[in-house]
Amino acid sequence: MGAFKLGRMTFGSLFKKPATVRYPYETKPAPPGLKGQIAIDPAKCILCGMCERGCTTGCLTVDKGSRFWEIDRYRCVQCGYCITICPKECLSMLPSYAAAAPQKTSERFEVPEKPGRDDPKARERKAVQEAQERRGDVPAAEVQPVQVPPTAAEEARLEALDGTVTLKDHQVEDLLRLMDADRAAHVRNALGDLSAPR
Amino acid sequence: MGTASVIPFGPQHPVLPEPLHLDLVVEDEVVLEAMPQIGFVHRGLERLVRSKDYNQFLYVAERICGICAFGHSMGYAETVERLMGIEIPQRADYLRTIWHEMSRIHSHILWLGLAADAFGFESLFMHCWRLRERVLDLFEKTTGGRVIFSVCKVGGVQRDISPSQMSEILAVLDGLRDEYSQLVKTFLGDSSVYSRTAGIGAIPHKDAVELSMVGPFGRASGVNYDVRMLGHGAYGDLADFQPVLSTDCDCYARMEVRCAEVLQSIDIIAELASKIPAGDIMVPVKGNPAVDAEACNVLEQPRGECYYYAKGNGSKYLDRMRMRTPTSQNLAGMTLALKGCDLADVNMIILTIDPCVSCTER
Repeated sequence: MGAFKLGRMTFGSLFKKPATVRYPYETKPAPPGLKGQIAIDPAKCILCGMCERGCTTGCLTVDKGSRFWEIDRYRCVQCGYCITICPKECLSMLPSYAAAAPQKTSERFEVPEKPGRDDPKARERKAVQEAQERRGDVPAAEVQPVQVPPTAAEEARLEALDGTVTLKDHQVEDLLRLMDADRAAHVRNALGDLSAPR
Repeated sequence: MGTASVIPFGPQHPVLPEPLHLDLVVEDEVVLEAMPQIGFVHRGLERLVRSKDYNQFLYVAERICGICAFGHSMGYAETVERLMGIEIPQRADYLRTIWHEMSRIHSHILWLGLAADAFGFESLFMHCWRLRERVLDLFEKTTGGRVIFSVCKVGGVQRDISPSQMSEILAVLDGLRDEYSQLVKTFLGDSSVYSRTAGIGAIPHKDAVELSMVGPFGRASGVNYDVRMLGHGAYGDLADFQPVLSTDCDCYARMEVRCAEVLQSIDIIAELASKIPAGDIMVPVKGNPAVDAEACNVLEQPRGECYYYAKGNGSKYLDRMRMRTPTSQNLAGMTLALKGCDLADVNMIILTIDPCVSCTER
């Protein structure tokens, strides 16, 4: 038993490099696997929402309608569970930490539309084409846009209007509604079962 | 002869890293009785198991405590695996055990630093934490986190330790052993440390057994119990495991036990690293725990035996998740040790149970 047992180590430390770094002038290099922040590759994302449902802290928001993926960096705890459940492997962990901000805001990423997938207009076009092919009236390659000739009622009304009548706003609206109804009836006849309500 | 008075101790006190309150009945600077009170950091984490599914709750479980974080995630994952009858790959078991033993090293060195701080040895405190930093750097390199790793999962582990990382771990721990031995010499051989710890807060073996004391606190009173000797998981493959025991029963003995356990953990890691099998690190997990399925599990945390209980209800949410932590076991022993001690020794005695109030209150 005696005193000054730590003397060798303490005096030795005087001649060694400091164990600490002079933060913030120096920072330690981040190891490659460091859990820093979640990153997303929007090109791969399909907005399935698995990450939002799996997130333990509820820091992720996925909006399929507006096509965005949002993360609240201040709620995220970097557990990495979203990365393990993402079916498209579009999430990853960056070894650098998110930058500090003066306000708590969420970071939003726009997810671009994928052509031929998740595109309602393209889906509709394809359905019309397939239905016409099923009916067999025109070959698939020669499908032309349906030309709608003006009806007799339309022509008569247009003649009556020829440059002489000034219409009020509500009358113009009524007229347009009538014209639309006629046109719709014509399209229904032209396409038959295609325009039946689904 | 003075009159007895009550002195409040905590919940904010320089020696306590966590909030623990004690009402000390003191007469003539001698503690007659100590009444502990907890409940300052209760967060209702066990209730969360009904609103987070069994995979998500793992990340809650490891946030119960900052120091035993990996132990809790490992204990929880093992319990759910038993609940669902999942057999994990042997390599995953080894990796978990290696990280768990590294957690024990960092926890014990942290405690030794806090003890040095409690008896006023500042430079010893700094040296302890400097060494602990190396273990934290190893964690950062292998898991990506310094304190909370999120590396465990139900069915295995998420990251592997590559051979180069494994040799780095062994090299760093070997380098640590030399410097650590010098620190141990100070803890166990310095006369000022000895005078502050020897003969203080003694709990006889009989009382320790009666009060079900666990962990290094119990082993310092000769309680021959360490969950690792049951040989669960990778511990079963160790050539030999003997719990570190002491029969002195005082604060000095508790320090001695923890000092020796760090070296024991370094040996365990070296042995497991030489035996680790190759193979997968996880198995796919499908389905949910069955209705009324029950499972329990014990794990040797740095502070002692921690008991886990889980019950399923057929859905992805568990019905019940319960933990009994070592500190809640040891609080009774602490009040006994405080009886009759000097007021100046109260902080040292409280520290030697290594109280983890966050674990206890959850």
